[in-house]
Order: sequence, then C-alpha cells, then structure tokens
Amino acid sequence: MCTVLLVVDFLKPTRPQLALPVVAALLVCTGQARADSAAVRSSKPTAAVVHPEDFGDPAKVESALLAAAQLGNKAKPFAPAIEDLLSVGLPAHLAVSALTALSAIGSPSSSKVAAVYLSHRRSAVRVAAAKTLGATGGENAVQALGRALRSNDAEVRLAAAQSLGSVGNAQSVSDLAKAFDRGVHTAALSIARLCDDTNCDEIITRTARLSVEAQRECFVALLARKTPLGDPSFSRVATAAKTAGITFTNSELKALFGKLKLSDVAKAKIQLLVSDQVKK
Amino acid sequence: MISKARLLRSFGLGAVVVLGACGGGQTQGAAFDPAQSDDGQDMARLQAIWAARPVPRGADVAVGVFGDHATVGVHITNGERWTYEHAVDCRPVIAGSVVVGSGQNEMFGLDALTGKQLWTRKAGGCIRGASDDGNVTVVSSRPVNGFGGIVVAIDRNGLVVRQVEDDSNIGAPAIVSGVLFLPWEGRFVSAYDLALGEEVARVRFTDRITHALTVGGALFFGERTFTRFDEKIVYAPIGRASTVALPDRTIPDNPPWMRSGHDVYAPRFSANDTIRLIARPESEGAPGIVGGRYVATHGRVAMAFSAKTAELSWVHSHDSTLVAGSAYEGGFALCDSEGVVTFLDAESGRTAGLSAIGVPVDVCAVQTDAFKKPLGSSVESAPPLRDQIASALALRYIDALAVQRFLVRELASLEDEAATETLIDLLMGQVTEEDLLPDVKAALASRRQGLPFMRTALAVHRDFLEGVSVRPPVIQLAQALAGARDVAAAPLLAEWLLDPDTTPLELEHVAAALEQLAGPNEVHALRTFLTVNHSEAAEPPIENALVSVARALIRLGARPDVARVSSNVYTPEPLRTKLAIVVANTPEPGASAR
Repeated sequence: MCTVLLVVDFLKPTRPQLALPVVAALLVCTGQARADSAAVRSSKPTAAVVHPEDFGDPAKVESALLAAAQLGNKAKPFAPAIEDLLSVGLPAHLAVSALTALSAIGSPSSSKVAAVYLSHRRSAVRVAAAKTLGATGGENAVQALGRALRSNDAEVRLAAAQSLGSVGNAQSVSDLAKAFDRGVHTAALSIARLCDDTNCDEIITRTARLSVEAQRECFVALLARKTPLGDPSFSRVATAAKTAGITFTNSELKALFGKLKLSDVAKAKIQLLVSDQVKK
Repeated sequence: MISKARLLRSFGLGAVVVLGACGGGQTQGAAFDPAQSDDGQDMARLQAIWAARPVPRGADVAVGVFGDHATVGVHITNGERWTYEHAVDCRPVIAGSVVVGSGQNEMFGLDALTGKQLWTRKAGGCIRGASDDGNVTVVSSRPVNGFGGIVVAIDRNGLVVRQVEDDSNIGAPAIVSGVLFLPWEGRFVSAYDLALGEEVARVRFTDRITHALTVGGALFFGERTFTRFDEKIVYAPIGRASTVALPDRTIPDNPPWMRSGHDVYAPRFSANDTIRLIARPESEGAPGIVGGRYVATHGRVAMAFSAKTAELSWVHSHDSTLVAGSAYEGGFALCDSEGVVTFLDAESGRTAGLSAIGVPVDVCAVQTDAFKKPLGSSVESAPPLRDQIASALALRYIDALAVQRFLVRELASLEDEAATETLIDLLMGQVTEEDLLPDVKAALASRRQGLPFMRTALAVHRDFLEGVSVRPPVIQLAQALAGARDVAAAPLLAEWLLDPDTTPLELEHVAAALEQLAGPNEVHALRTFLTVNHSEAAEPPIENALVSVARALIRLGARPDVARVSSNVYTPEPLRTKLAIVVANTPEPGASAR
C-alpha cells in the first residue's frame, strides 16, 4: 500500500531570491523503502522524497514526478500541486515529467495548465501536453486539441488526434477526417470512437486507405462503441468490413464482447452482422 | 564676325554645289575657322534668319539589323516592311527620311519608308550620326584610326557635295536647308555652310554637346541636356539658352539621356541599349519635355517619370528586351529584340498599338518625328501603379535585379495603402527572386500605411488541416506595426508569441513590438510565454524576446510575474540577471502608457 505526498510551498517573500515553488513528493509505501531510481520505475514504487531545499535539483524533482506518475489516479489529490508547479514554469524535461504525471492522474482540473503547454517551444513538451489532455479531458481539452491538430508539428498532430479520440465529441470528427485525409491515419480510430450516425461515414469511406490491421482496429472500434451505432450505421460498417475482407475469429469476438461489456442486444447485433465473416 | 550678307547667301542657295562623287568639295586641315567667335552672336543672327525655315519632319520608321547582312524596317504608321541586303558592320542610323548604314567599307543610303537604295559609296569607319534635309544626307563618321572626325554630305544621287575632316571629335550632325550643324569637342556647335564650304557661325555651351538633331520641327544640341536652337541661343555660353534637362534622380545604372555622339556602336545591342532614357524636348514655347513624361527602359521594363517631379508615373513590363525607343507627342515607341514596336500612351502606359519589323533584330532604331498614336476607346484602363510594379517584379531575366530593387523602393514609397498588400503578397507568394527578398522585406518593414493589410496578413498562421503552408513575413510586419504604433495589432502579435511555429528571430521582433503595443488584454499571453519558456533562453533571440516580454509585463502592472521568473532557479543565469535589472530599472507607468 503506497501513498504519495506532493507539496508545493512558496517561501516567504522576505527571501525573494528563493521565492520559488518548492515541491516535496513523498511517496510512502508500507513495504521496504528503496529510493533507487530503478525502484521508482518499478511496478511497486517505493519512496522518493524531495525536500524544499532540493527543489533546484532536477533529478530529485523528476524522481518525485515519476513516482506520482506511477501511482496514477491514486495521486489525484496532488494534481493541483503539480499543476501549480507547471504554472510557475519548469525546464522542458521536468515539464514533460509533470505533464506525464498529470496524464497518469487524469484529473480534469489539469487541462487548463496542460493546454498552456501546447505553446511550449519544445516539441516533446507539446506532445506531452497533447497526451495529457487526452487523459484529463476537461473544459479546455477539446478546443486545445483541435488547435493542436492544426499544428505544423507531425508528432503533436499525432498525439492530438489520438487524444481527441478519448475526449473529443462528434463535432471533432470533421477535423479528424481532414487530418486523416492529410496523412494522420491514426485519426481513423478516433473518428471511429467519436462519430455518430450522422458522420460515421467519414471513416467508413476512408478505411480502404488503411492497412489491414488498422482497418480491423477501426471496425472493432466502430462495432464496439460504448454508445452503439444505430442499425443503419451498423449495417454500413458491417458491409464495409465485409467488402474490405476483414474477418474476426470467434475468440476475437468473444474478447471484444467481454472487454467492452456490451449489452446483450448489441452483442447479438454484432454477432448477427458479422456472423458470415467469422472464421470458424 | 560673320556678315549678314554672307549668312543670307548661305541660305539663298537653292542647291548645294555638286563637287563630284569622290572627294569633291573636300575640306582638309582645319575645318573650323580659328578666327570664328564662339560667343553665340553669329549663331543668333543665323537663327534669326533660319527661324523662318521649316524643318522637315523625319519618316516614322523602325529599322533593325537582322544577322550580319540585312537591314530591315517597317513604316510604323502603315506597317509596310522592307528588307535591304547588304553587309552591316556598323549600326545604321535613321536620318530624317533616309537610313544610313555601312558594311564592308561601303556606306549606303536607303529610303527609310521603302528600303529602296538611294546611294552607296566607299567609306571607312563607323557612323556616329547622320541627318538629312530632304536633299542632302550628312554623315559623321569616326575615322578608322579612332581620332578626329569625318563628315560627308551626300546628295540623292550619291554624290559627295562636301567632305569635312578635322582633328576634332565631331559628333552627330544635323542639316537644315543646306547648313550643317556640327557639334565638336563636346562643347561647340558650328554652323557650316555647305555651299560656301566654310564655317559661318559658332557657339559654345556650358553643357556637354555631342549631338545635333531635329525633332518636331526644331533643332536641338545636346547629350545629357538639350538646347533648342531658338532666339535664346545667344545665351548658350552663359548657360541661359532654352535648355531642358531631365530631373536629377537616381535610376538603375544611371542611363544618360543620350550616349556620346562621339562613339560608334556595333550592330548588336548591348546592355547600354537596353538601359536608356527616352524623352522628347518641346519644339516650341518654354523649354520642357513633351507630355511632361520621360521613359527609362531597363531590360524588359519601361518606367515613365514626371519630367517635373521625377515621380514614377507608370511601369510597363515587356515580354522581351527593349532595345530602342523614341518619344512622340502623346506616347513612346519602344522597339524590342523581337522586332516589335510597342506604342505606349504617355499618360497611362497603356498599349496603344504595335508594329512589327517581322524578324528578331540584333539592333533597332526608331524615329517618330511626326507620329501620333492615340489610345483606342476599347483599351482597358491601366491597373494601379502597385500592380504594374508587381508585374515588373515578376519578370525573370538576367540583370533584372537592379531595376526590380529600384521598383521595390518605389513601391515602398507609394502613399497607396494597398501597396502594402502588394509587398506582403510578394513575400507570401513565394515567387519573388531570392536576391530580391531582402529589399522587399526592408520595404515592408518601412511601411506605415496599409495597416489593415498588415493585420490581415498577420492573422494567417500555418494550418495543417486547411493546407495553409505559407507564413506571413512576421518580422517585417512586427517592425512595421510597431513603427506605426498600431495597438490594434497587439492581439495578433500575441498569437505569434504563443505559436510554436514562430522562429526565434521572429519571436524577438514580435516581443519587441509587443513591448510597445501590448495592452491589458495581452497580459495573459505575455505571462504564459514568460512562464512556459523562461528556461528556454539559451538562444539570444529568445532571451531577448523574454526580456522584451518582461518589460511589457512590468509596464502593464505585472511586475510580480517577472520577479518570480527572475528568481526561479530554472531560469538560466544570464536571463535571471537581465530580468533582475529589468525589474529594478523599468518604471511601471501602467497600462495607460500604452
């Protein structure tokens, strides 16, 4: 059992030269404490402590952020502290670590500061920010990712397209379709997740441009959406999959059904529609 | 001093003395009377008598050389063409109604309108200039040895009625009613009576004189200025005759109005032929330039200027090299290397018509003494000057850069707000020659007009989804907008501050502009930029940008933000020091100082 304590403190203005945000990340585990970095990266993180006077030590700050990232949403209480850290400003590599930690935590409150980092001069930081927005959602996320999708930076576009698949909505589909048409093929999966009965054709008509594996992934996403498509769309998807020669094994269908926890009705529909494509 | 009776005698001769086809009337030794006064008094008396004499108009023709064995021409009024086969070693000249050429030691005279051979005679040396008064053709040649001058007067039968040889350089002559006007040594003009075979008057000039020519029924002397032969000729020695000069302004490669009349030219056009001034002096009234316009040609570009203010009036872009030209009342006739003569309206630069010699030419000469070519009613209106300049800047040919750089400066100086849009288009259109880009950029940065066009351009960012791959000239726009103190541009500049696509150098200029222009609405963007990027100050332009942003923030009352960054351990030390100085020294007048 581990807990993480991340503290941001501002020293008194009587010492302006040290008036810095001070982060202390205290990761406490019930097991044997091991402070080496390998342990921090392991599946069973131990303790990492950053004392206030060590804030200027990027290695210690980074260790704490990595520890928070490893804890994932269990570190949610400390998301505001990390957000504050980013609001004050960090070197690029620490900004990436902070954003990665926020991504792992997945708190919507982090979207505001993550969106700001889409304007960072370094591509790696912008990519991290785009990924974080896909994990946190939040009120700024969709709009910020929409802007990132227009970026001149291919890595940022890729991350934005993927993140939109997680936090976007049906209104995001048209931009994702444009991105797809301009070579961002990872947008296909996002479209499959976000489209509705009015615009799923945006992806159905484009799947032929994808590799077989990517097509299969898209069709799976289309068939197994959390919000199932209506019957007409279902039919078009199934027909397109059949035309594309996409086949599913019984075990794949079983896994699909199990993973997505579909209703029986939805399962029956999928089974019915793709039954003649199922490899016995 | 010349007697009035002698002058009258010289004009009273209906015909010149025919002295034979070879060497008749030859004047050897000193052609010019050493005792002759050059104070202009005799020349004034001659002018008083001469004034009643009409000066015949020359033929309106264009003449070219095709290869090394053909002289070709076209009557530009009716389009009739002719070809005359003869070796051509020297550049032919149009002399009134005659074309004079030479090749293989033989000189020939042709009817300018038909190309019919009038005469030939043995001759060495190339032609400096020629003139014809309807009866006699006078030709000034450079001796084979290159020194002095030879002038021969030849009648319609090919008989030499007078030959003058002198050690002095004799320029391009004129002949009117049997009197030769010979410019010599670059500062004298002597009137030489063909019948008497002697100099009857002389005048010296303060300006350089190597040409005598008849235009529009008047006689002129000059080279870089032209002095009319009128009642004020007596004042020529003190520089107060009826002299007209073109405005003193810098034009690419500084072409003179006319090149030296002492030189001779090969029958192939050179750079000097493509870079020239074309103007026609007023034949009566106050000294001036006909139509108030003169043209400078430079390669494939013709530019018209006001003869009074030197202001650029219009620009004509041509599809081949302009090699010759002539001004007429209401326009300019320009001959190109393809042998096409284009008539341009003096007022607007619009094309009034064309006339074709019919073959490409190695050299061309145009004479438009009586020519007129009004614009047809169907001719489209001229595009604005900014568009005319843009067309010229789109031309691609060797040696275009000089004139294009000149035109960029002209474009930058236009009051027309839309000229700013033209400059922006030149930079964003990705068609401007790389060598020209620095000039266009400097021109845009210097603009203070057309701010809406600048803002519109600045709003364009690269957009992957919309396929927008061009970027505006951010640096120059920032400089211009800051120079114009255009606070309305601040939000647009702030967007560039936060656009990762902005280059470090652009950032530096954007931030410098925002240092002046940012208002309260830009504080958030300024703060974001400083916070997010303060650890990225390794590059000097980014460091400079951060300092500018810090100054703007302090001005806008956000000193604590700057202070926080200046004491952040992750802020590079050099920047920390600079920010600390900024915090300490920058006053905080508040947003109202914007």
